Amino acid sequence: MDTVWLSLQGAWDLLRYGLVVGAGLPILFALGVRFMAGPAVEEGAVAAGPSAGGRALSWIFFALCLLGVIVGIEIIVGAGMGKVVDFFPFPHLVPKPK
Amino acid sequence: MALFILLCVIGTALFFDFTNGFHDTGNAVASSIATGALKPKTAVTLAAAMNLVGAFLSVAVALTVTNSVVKIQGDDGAPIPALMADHGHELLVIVLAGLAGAILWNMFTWLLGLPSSSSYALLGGIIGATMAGLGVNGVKWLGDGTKIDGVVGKILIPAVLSPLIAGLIAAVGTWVVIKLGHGRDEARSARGYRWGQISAASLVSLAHGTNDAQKTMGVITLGLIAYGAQTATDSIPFWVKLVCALAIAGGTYLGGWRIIRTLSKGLVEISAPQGMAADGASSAVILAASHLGVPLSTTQVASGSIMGSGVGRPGAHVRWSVAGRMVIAWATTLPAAALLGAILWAIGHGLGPVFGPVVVMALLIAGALTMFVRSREHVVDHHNVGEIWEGAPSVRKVK
Repeated sequence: MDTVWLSLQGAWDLLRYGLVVGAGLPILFALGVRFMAGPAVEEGAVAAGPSAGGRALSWIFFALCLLGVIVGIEIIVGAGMGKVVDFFPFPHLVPKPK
Repeated sequence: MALFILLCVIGTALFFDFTNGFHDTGNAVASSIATGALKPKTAVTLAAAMNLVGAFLSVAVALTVTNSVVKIQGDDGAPIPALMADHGHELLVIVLAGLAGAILWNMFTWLLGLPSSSSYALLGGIIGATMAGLGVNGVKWLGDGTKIDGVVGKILIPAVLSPLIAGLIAAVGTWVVIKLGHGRDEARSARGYRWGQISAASLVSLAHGTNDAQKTMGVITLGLIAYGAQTATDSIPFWVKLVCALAIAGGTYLGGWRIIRTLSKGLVEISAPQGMAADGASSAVILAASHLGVPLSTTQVASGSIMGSGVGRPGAHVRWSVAGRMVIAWATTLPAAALLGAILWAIGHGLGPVFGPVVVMALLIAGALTMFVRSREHVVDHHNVGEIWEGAPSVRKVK
């Protein structure tokens, strides 16, 4: 029943890492959106928009998400080329270990 | 006549690839359509383009498509010698029956608007045809325990766990994202979420093109090797890549509107932040699994994420009856495709080397046409995909 055990381990890894990126990146993105959107205003009033600081903060969060997208593209390209992403020292493609 | 059956295999493989495209369009774009981040036609065009690019990214395609579940190929991907007689006739009949069974099941679930896994349908069809042809021992149930393998490891366990994992992640993400949006300017926020959704949807489509088109490329090349038209097991002819890429992109562009409708309107009403969280969870889970080498179904992950995003949004009303129908489709996909594959193998094998494949093709075409005609009774397309959900998978009648 090693297959079952390995599968459960895989599922556990997927849950852990998936939570970090799958919930984490949307949350970072939502922080970016929050700072970019500015506060809600009364209906009919002109939206104030973000402050300069809020705008800068939001771009930092968006940049982090963009990094996530770049790593995602790397994983896809790797899958097409039979390679995998090695995260150290920075995410790059290496041949799939046998 | 071996050439005839090879041509049948190539044709059905491309037909399967095409159904794979439209069956899975919704995985990537359903929530973008639901929130209005993308217009329906724009969404399927984007998904099709990404699938096309993704398919061409497939440089190193493994021929060992079926090795995880059946024993008809060796470790290098070449067919086992026992099936190679008479231009690989036995292998070609198994592959033909498996593909035809997978297509019929894909068309049937599409007709019902249910997002079932195309990959599991393909493997199910091949498992059924192999069991009928080689017996129960022709199927690899558990693998040797050194890696995640076999029907249990590659299909059964992921089929149960991956939608739950995706759903939980999407629920957590949605809950926090919605909290973060409170008290902020809604119109500006919605514009922001829109870009998040489009990016995540593009990633899902790109990954789909790379992963799923590879399977058909592998199957067609397997047929070519069995027939004797190719000997190399480490390369795929360019024309195979080209036609597979076009078939999956064409299918995606057609848009499986019935399934898109179920995912975008049927399960739960999707708000902009919720759609962004759901798409983010889907793309991250699919790519994390790809990186970790954990098998899963893109379709089940996308459906699980959308369901989870409904659970995570306070006050959202998840239609559990629709979810239940979907889960029934997931549970039946493997056995149903296997049964179809087995029956078609019996016909293809039993009626002789020429008549058998002819009858299999005739049944496939008749079945597919019947379901297509039935689908025209209640048309779902890009005009009415976003209409209010009234319980049925479609709302507008033609005639």
